[in-house]
Amino acid sequence: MSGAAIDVRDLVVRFGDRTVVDGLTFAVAPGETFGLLGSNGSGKTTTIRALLGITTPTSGTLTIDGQPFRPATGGVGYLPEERGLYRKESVLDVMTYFGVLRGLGRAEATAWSTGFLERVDLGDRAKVRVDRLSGGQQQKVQLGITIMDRPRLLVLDEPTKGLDPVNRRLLLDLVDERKADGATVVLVTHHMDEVERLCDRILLLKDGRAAAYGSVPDVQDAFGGAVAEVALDGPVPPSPLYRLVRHEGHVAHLAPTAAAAPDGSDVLAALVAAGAHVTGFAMRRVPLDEVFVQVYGHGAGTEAEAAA
Amino acid sequence: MSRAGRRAVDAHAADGVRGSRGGGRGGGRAGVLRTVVRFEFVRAVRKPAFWIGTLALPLVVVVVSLLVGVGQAAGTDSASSSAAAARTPFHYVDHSGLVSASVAAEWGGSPSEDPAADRAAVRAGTLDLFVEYPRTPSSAPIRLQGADRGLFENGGYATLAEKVLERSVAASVDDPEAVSLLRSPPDTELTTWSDGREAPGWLSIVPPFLYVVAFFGLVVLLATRMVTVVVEEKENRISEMVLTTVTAGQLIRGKVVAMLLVGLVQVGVVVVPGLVVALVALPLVAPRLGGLTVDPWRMVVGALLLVGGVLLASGLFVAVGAAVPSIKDASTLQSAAIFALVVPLYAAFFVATTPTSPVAAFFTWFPTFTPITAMVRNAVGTLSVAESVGAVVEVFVVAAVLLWAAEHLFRHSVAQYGSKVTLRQVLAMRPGRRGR
Repeated sequence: MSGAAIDVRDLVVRFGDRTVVDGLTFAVAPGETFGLLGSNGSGKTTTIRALLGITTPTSGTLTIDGQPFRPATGGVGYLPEERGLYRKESVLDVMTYFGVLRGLGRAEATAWSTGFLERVDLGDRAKVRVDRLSGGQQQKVQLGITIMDRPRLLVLDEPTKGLDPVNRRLLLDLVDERKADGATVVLVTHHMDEVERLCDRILLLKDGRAAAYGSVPDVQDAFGGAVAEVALDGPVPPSPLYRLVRHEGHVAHLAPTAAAAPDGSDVLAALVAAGAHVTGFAMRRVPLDEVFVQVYGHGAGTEAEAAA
Repeated sequence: MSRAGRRAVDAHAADGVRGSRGGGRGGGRAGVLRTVVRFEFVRAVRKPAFWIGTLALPLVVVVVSLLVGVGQAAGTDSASSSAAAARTPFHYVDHSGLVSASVAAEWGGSPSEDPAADRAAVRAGTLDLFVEYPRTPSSAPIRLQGADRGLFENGGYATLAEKVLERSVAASVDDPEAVSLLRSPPDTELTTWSDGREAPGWLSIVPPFLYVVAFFGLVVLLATRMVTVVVEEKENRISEMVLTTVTAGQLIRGKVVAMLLVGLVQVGVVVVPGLVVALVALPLVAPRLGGLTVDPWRMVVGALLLVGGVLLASGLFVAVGAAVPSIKDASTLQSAAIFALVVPLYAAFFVATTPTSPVAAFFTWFPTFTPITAMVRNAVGTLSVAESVGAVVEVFVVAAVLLWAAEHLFRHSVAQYGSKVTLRQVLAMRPGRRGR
């Protein structure tokens, strides 16, 4: 892709005899929010580590704004999956240190950090040692470090992992702001609702290869297109016109079979004819988590985490 | 979310913080290095534990010195009490004919009338001491039988018997000088010459030997600190965040420089009070320090060996930190590294006294043994000029190689969490695009 914020071509990463990433090619446009998805051990983190020079690739070219990444160039904020900070230092000292390393003046870094901590309800914890914070609080500090120099590229690996809903929303709001500021965002997550909310395009990795790649609607269409979202009381009666995808509470997702009309009218008629008490009906694109299950099978997410 | 915080963050954004869209980070390489050095140095020296650890050593030295001083004073009293005990009545037999009855009587002695009975009396505890002077005391021992007074007090018996004989002989000599010589041997004053110049004496060892002490202290003080700061990013799983901000090379160099500065502070804390004490005490002890000469050559060589040796030690400790995933896993390798540096101390006397032996050569030139061995030989003056130059060059070259290898190892292992670097991995490492 010409002028891509990220351009990865023919990336191969091997650890000994094991191939973790196998000929991966993708690009991320400037200002785009890009989802990098995959089950545990599918090669997501290895791809990012290779992109950021932390892992040396076996072969392939990886560029950010047309150049291989160098820390000195800056412009990249990376929130890794591994959570960690200098545990015995104060929150403000750690943030200021990273701020100065990222090109801010010392006073400027301290002022920004103080403001950020106030915003994320950690204002009274600025002088506290990092190891006295909860995991979620440390995560917010890490995000602050990641965005404090307004990087043009944000790479967030499982940014909301372990956060309660309130802090999850706060963190996603912060990402939204960076996005609105024109930053390119690469999001690695298992939360499909986050992907649907934030991402323009996605790449699904399986065994180090691209299993799906494109805009969210394109990927949804490629994996079953539409589903009927049905609100009903009681069980879903069986029918050759649809397949039950999911039934949680009063909402069921039904995938029309080839025998059904594309607009779902046959599905609704079949439900009513079978005596189901339908209170709502709409045709929607297949949810991304259904796509995820289709790609990775029901064992996804329970595989042992690979060393990569 | 507080409004004040939101305003601060928004104001920062509105001001158009330079960020890193242009011009790089941290004011260039030197700026980044300075930032890392400052961070590592400041957080090390502002911890109470640092000062407790640093001040403990001189404090212990002062306390021990005071205790020794007090003990010596007490020892004088003890000596006096020993002398008093020596005047305890005793019986003696004199086969030499040298013992004066009057002198013996002064010390509580009286001639034995029945040696066998006196020996039995000592065994029975009714007599403290029985002394039997041989026919020729210059070649045969004086035999004593005494009631046990404990290991230290028993020595007083021998002193008493010798004193009685010595005073008896002195009483038979008219010349006061001869008497004085009999009581204490004469002092000697040796002056030796080398290449037409007065050769330095034993005390000349002291100034250059201080480098050995300093090196040993720095190795002990730096070892854990250096390994800890190197392994910290891995142990805290923070490497990835750090490495997208600074290169592994900048990070490790900053840490090494910071720890060397910390070592300087620790040495300074010990040396400065030491110098003050020396300056105060010098006029008092100056007359006794006639042989204390300072050889500029030896001092320069010692200083270079110390600097090179500390860098070499730093390379070893960084390599240890780079090879392990946590400080807990570092203990075995760290002990091995310390051992590899200080083991020559055990052979120091042998090496110093037999500088031309193959063993001395081995200790002098084996890379990790060179600093201490060369410093010891330099102190005692058995390191030739050529050997001095060779040792200094070797130490700096080995230090450079070790630091380079340690940095290389660190670059490739810093993001490897939870597992040790294997030999296979080390051999497979190749110069890559990892940050320099």
